[in-house]
Amino acid sequence: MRKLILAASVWVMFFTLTGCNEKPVDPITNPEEAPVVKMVISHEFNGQRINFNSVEYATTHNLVSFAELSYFLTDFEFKKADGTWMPFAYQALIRARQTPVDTLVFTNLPKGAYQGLRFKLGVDSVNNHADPALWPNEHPLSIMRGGTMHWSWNAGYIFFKLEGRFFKDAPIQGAYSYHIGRDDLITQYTFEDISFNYNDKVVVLPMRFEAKNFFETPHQHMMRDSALFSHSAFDDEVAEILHGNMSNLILKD
Amino acid sequence: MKHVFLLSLFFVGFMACKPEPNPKKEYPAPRPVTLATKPFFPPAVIPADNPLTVEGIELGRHLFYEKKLSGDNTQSCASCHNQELAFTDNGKPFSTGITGAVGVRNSMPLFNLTWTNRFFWDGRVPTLRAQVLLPIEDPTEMHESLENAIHKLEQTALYPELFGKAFGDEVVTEERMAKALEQFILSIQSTDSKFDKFRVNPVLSPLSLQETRGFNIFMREFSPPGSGRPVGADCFHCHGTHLFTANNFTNNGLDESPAVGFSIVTNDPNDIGKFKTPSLRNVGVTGPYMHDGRFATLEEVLEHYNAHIKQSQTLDVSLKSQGMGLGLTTQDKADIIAFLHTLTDSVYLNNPAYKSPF
Ligand code: HEC
Ligand code: HEC
Repeated sequence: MRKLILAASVWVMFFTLTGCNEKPVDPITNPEEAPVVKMVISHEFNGQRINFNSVEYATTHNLVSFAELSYFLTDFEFKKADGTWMPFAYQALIRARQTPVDTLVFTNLPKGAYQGLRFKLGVDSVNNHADPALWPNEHPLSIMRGGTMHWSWNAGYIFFKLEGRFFKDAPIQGAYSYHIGRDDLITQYTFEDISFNYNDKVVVLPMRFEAKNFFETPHQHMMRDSALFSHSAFDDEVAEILHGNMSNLILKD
Repeated sequence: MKHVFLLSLFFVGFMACKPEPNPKKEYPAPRPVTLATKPFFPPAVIPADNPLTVEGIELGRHLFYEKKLSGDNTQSCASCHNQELAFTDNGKPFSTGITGAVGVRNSMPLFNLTWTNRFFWDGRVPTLRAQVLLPIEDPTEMHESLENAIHKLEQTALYPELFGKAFGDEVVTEERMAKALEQFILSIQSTDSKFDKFRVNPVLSPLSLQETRGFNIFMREFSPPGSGRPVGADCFHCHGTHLFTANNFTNNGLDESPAVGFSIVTNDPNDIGKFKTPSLRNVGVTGPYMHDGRFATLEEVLEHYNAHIKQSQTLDVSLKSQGMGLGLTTQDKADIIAFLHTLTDSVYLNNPAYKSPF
């Protein structure tokens, strides 16, 4: 009987715990693994894992394929139980073509209860304009890792790069290349619906990068002979319009 | 007595003409070398198991200029890598080996390889250590077995001692040859061009108006003619950063049916036609250009990017002007070339530390 009560209370605990979140976010991947918090980002188009270079996907106005999707995530902050945001020094360069499902590992996050997460897609102004050679070569912001992600003497880093081909009237193919940088085009992501207890187990935070939203949420982008690339220039309208679609790129899965 | 003296003379003479490495002889530890960090360059990458030393680099320099490493003792690395031309092959599109065989790729410049992690035009070799012995055995190049090469070095008075100084004892091995050549090549840096001086102090070392214009066009993104924006040639996407290469493999539109290129490494059809993006430092002296030396002059290279980009499946999307052309005027092209010449580094081209020790 004692056992039954125990089992029942474990169940109740489980339901209350999972009930707080819409979805449980702390599956234990491997009980042997040292406790750590991970964010796993799956790169998708309309819910399907992106198949680079080969598959064509339909946006409202175009058929597109992807050749490269790379971006920086920086300025991570975790919301503590007392409601304050705790900065967590972490920068990531995501290269989705090479790593379609990328895992960011937050080692050294203090143990405790958290009820939110926020970060930026972009590189803060100070680092953006600093000399990229000053980073150690393994650092995500080093040009040794992201040589193709720097605008050299222009505006600093290219925070976000989405490149590929689109199909005009067959058989003519066009290419598009959207690069977003500039201090004023940093995108902040805030997730107040992510909460987890981090103590002696591995915590996984599953996220989804939804590429479809880049082309149509809310602005419905149409590729024709114009608006095929965006620039570092301060008056680049294409960059500004597409930046408006970027707050819906990374979603809680 | 006289006989004994004569005999010992004979013995000494015999030793002198047939020296053998003495594995027992001990040498002091080689002296470590730290490459100076230069402004705007990332930290140099040196393999942990082959730290640079004065004696290691010195041995490597001797080997680099050593003709005994070739089958008929006529060719050294330097035969196809001439320092005055940024270690390229004397203006030839392809190099000729000792047998008269002609290769299929343009000789590559050697500098700043501390910041490269794939070697040869198609990137087929992942480390410099693995790369440096290949030309010796290549039948179209130096055409000598490593066994013979080692034997020839052992027979000299010079090398056992140089190996001893570099590695602690006189034993000559393949691995030590590779490590010494790796050290020498890693020590070759080009960081003192006019452009570097300008970057460090633009007031003391300004660029001319034409060079500045060329720099801006090189670094600016392409805008379609008629867009009202200043002209941009979009070169920096691949030849950007202070290294003047983004360290990537790309298809820059040379052919409609491109060569295998980097796909030889990845087996990925999306990498067909992609070649190592070369650094444009010293490009003023490294002609002819491209992996097959197809363009004799920088003017021809610029005209390629301006109006002759060939479409293919793997053409880099950043050559997005495809079809429309860059729309550069003769003046724009001349300005870019003037800027490219500011990347020529005469300190490196004449550095005595990289010259032949013989
Ligand atoms: C017969 C001419 C010839 C000789 C001799 C020769 N090379 Fe080369 N070297 C070349 C050519 C041609 C290439 C480009 C080959 C390719 O990409 O397939 C090259 C490429 C290289 C590279 C690659 C550089 C890069 O950026 O990837 C290195 C390093 C190099 N050679 C070092 C050496 C050394 C060390 C020796 C002597 C042991 C040597 N070479 C002898 C012709 C030569
Ligand atoms: C899409 C990437 C890309 C862009 C953009 C690009 N290049 Fe290149 N460049 C390359 C690659 C790759 C090679 C070597 C190609 C080969 O040999 O197959 C190269 C070769 C060269 C060479 C010959 C270097 C040598 O040692 O043989 C010169 C010069 C050059 N590019 C100048 C420029 C200039 C000027 C621009 C702008 C107008 C430019 N490139 C734009 C990728 C690019």
